[in-house]
Amino acid sequence: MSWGYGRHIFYLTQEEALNALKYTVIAEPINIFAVGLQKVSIAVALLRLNLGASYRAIVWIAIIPNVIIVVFTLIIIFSRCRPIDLMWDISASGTCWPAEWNVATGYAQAGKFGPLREEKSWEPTAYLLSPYSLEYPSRHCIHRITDCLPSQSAAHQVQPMGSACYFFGRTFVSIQSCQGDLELLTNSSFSATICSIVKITCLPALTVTTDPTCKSHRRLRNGRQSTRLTLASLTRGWSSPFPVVNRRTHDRPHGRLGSRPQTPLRILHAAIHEHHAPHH
Amino acid sequence: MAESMANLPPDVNKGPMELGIAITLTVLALIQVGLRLHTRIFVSRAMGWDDWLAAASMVWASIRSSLIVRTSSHSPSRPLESYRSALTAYP
Repeated sequence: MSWGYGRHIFYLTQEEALNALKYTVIAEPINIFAVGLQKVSIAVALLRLNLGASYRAIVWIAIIPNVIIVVFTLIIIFSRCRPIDLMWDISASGTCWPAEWNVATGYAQAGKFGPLREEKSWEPTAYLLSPYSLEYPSRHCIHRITDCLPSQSAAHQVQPMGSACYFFGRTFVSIQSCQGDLELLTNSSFSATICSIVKITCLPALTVTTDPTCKSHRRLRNGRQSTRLTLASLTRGWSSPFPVVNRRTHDRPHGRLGSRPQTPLRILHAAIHEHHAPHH
Repeated sequence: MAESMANLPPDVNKGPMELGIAITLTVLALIQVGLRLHTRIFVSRAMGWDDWLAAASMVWASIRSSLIVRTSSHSPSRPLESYRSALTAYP
């Protein structure tokens, strides 16, 4: 059974219209909650990188307003109308707060400045409350990572790639309606994948850092070697900006990596094995 | 009558499109989050708060998508005559 979501309300029966509105109203706070959780998840992932006290402070400054605005938006939604049925049943009797409240909190939660555009003084506040506030810590992280890459050409390759993914994700989210799923996909998938690929190449250069994708609290050892081997696996087939990687893999055909032809997967396995091997 | 019919909003059913987007993105997100959790639980054994939050977010996003699927109109367009009640219910 469907309730006509996707059609103009004019062409729905009264029952269909009521149920379509009801499910849409119920879906709204669920989506806001899901997106809110996802934003905090990204921020906590950034927090685990542990790039210094000021970095952590910036991430916390991004987390706290986001949590506050999500909770505030949910409170506004659920307490807007008494009885709550009035949100989807226009024939019910009762009272509602002005719809502008809902619109304003909705815009703030989504990080859009539509109704606030006239009031420029609101923009810094809206920015703090918005998902874009995570942009600075993310960029800080990317800069720290690209700074430690072994060559400038590598940094030049990586930086646009990360930026392109970020902006592709944001644009994709803004043009679609299924925001929750897309936030999960674009932020968790594309940018996180790029960040992971880039991060793994230079973790040893990041000071006082543990790899959140490895076991907690384990400091990386022999990271330089694993970094280069991982790079070899990632850059094979491209015009590699890292000649040192190619020298290592070509100079030692019968070394620790074995005498079999080296595929990217084997090199990656060797790197992981070497990374986890006990050191004496 | 013909003039009033011309002023009516177009009877376009975007339900199947909504349905397709919701299902496709949910499945992709489920795969993505599932792989992430599998890696963190079984490979690196380093589940953190970010993973738990992503998992919780996925649960709520799935509930939201299922509501869209439940509500979406996937029936073909019906004759206008069956919507006379709408004209009186929503003047």
